[in-house]
Amino acid sequence: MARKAKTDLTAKSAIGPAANAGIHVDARIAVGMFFTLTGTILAAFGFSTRDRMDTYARSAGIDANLWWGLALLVFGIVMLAFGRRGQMKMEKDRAAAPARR
Amino acid sequence: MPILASADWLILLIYGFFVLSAGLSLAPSIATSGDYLVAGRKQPSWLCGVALAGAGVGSLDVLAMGAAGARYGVTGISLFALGSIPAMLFAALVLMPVFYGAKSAEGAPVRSIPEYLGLRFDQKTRALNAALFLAMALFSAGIALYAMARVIAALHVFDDLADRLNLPPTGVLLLSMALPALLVLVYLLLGGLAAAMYNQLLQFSVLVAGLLPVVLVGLKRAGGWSGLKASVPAGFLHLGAGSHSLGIGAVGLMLGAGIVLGGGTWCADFRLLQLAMAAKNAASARRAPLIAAAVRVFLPLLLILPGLFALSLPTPRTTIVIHNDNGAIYHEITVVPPAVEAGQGLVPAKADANGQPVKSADGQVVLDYALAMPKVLVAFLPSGLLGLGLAALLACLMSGVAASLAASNTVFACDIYQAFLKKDASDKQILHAGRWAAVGGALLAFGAACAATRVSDLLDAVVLVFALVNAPLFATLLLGALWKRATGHGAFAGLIAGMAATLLHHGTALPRGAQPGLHGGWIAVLHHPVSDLAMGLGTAAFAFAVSLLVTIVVSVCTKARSDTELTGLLRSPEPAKAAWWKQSEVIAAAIILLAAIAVNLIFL
Repeated sequence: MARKAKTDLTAKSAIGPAANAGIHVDARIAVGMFFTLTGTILAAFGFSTRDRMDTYARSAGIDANLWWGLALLVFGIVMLAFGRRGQMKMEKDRAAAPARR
Repeated sequence: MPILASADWLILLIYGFFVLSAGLSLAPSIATSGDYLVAGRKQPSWLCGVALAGAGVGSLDVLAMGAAGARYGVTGISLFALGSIPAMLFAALVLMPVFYGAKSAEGAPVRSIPEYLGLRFDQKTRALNAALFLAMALFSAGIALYAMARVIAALHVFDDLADRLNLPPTGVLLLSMALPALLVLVYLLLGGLAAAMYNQLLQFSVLVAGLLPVVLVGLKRAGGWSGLKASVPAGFLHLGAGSHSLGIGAVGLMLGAGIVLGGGTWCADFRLLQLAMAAKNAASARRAPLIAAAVRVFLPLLLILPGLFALSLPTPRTTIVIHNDNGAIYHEITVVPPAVEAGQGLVPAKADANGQPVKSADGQVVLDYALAMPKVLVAFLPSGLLGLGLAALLACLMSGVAASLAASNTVFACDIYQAFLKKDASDKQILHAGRWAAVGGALLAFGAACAATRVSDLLDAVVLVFALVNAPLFATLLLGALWKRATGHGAFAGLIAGMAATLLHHGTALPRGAQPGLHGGWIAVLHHPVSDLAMGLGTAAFAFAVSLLVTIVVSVCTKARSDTELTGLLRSPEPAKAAWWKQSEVIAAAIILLAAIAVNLIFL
């Protein structure tokens, strides 16, 4: 999922500044990608270390990596969805703008 | 023992990569000086708002908030929430429309606060403010770099790397200042203010993601709210109870903090205002501080509680555990440095060059409250999440540096280069001037950071520099935007008088237990404020009042400008399009204010 968004980004900048100068990257895509990635890593790390009580003594015996990693993964996917929608809307507006002029 | 595991490193590196990629993805869109300096003035209100909230806790504040929690208890919350929120609402509803809507004679929108001063008053006021702003922004960026390096050094993040490079002990500090500074400079040069804003959004999300687990785990480990109450000094969870340690009543605290410190920050500091001025239209510019305020109401829980957790844990002591393993006797010795042992809870004492705890003039151990937050992260987060928590801390410090550099390159390009050095500069030249100013600014900030490693008291000078520049400026901007009669000579005289007042107050007051010098009292000690905070508030309030008074008196004595010259530069009484209860922004502001009061009332 994260990968797909990335290709979209580069495709975007190819038609970029010439078409209509200005900034046209939705900031939420990067945030979504970051949290999808770190959420997955944390959850996987938490899952593989779930039996190591010494690691989780600090967090009161809760496997904080696993649960918080999953929460961040969900947040990341939601941000990606919003970001994709925003990006598409921005592209539509940009395509429409020069036609009007 | 290395504090960071490979999982922590992985997350830190991924964060670093995403920070850079914000610059890379924006670089192709930066074609004009407007794209670079003011992010094209095309940003949606939610981005401006969250960036503003992020920048508000950027720089030193993230350490200062944890410090306030450990030092003053929940009274720190009222300082944070009630102190800044009225100022943010005022900025949103009253000042932002003026700053955002102001246009030069050619119809170009204003890009910076000094540029607004130039149009509203005169060129000398503009030049004075631009120069002062540059000095303040770069100095505090340097101090933020130094603070960041201390956190990195205290957590031994780069020790392995420095060992491998055969660097001397001071090299760790230099490395921890140079690497983040370089990272910030690269993404700023690539993407300008927009890259700074995109990273503030990322920073803010990482801050919540990294610190929320600390609060949840901390409350669980302390045994819930009642358990926390039992383990911290009496009254720390009671609003206003800590105010005798602050030395001013709770009401005085809120008024002082709200009007002067809050106003000087949220209504006058261009490092923050630039983020709202990059909005796509006037409505978004007004909404940005509102969104930031709404988010900020809930931030104290995230930032101040960890400081309290630092006090709730026992102070580490040097221990020797003897155990017998198949006949062999093992002595397991955990050595704790003397400065850490002299601390309170997890908050260590300040260490001198020999690692011994520093004592104040009255024999008390001086605690290094700024390390409360990093120590809590290490004590509460398991490896993995620790990487994220550390990323959150570094993100805040880096975004503070980025906001300072972005604001100062705008001020240099618009208000020094274009206004005075090369009046007919082309757009390309202004863009280049902005980028070179970022490079120069980063070098100067790095120099200030190096100076701070030698004179560690410089950290406390940030409050003084703030009072010197922003407190008088708040008075000037307030009168400029609201009072037609204020004149250029008045504003200029007011700024100078405000600065003189700051120095006078600072030179004649000294907080209890402090040594004369950067803490104050370098002329003659006439009175003793009870704490550093009370002193800072007093200095800023005095500077603000003097500046306000002098501006008014000189303005009345000098010739006013005609109404036509001032069109669009003052707050215009808007045509009553709807009753106030029908305007959504006013309603939102009222709700935010009530929420802020509610957060404070919980603790009363």
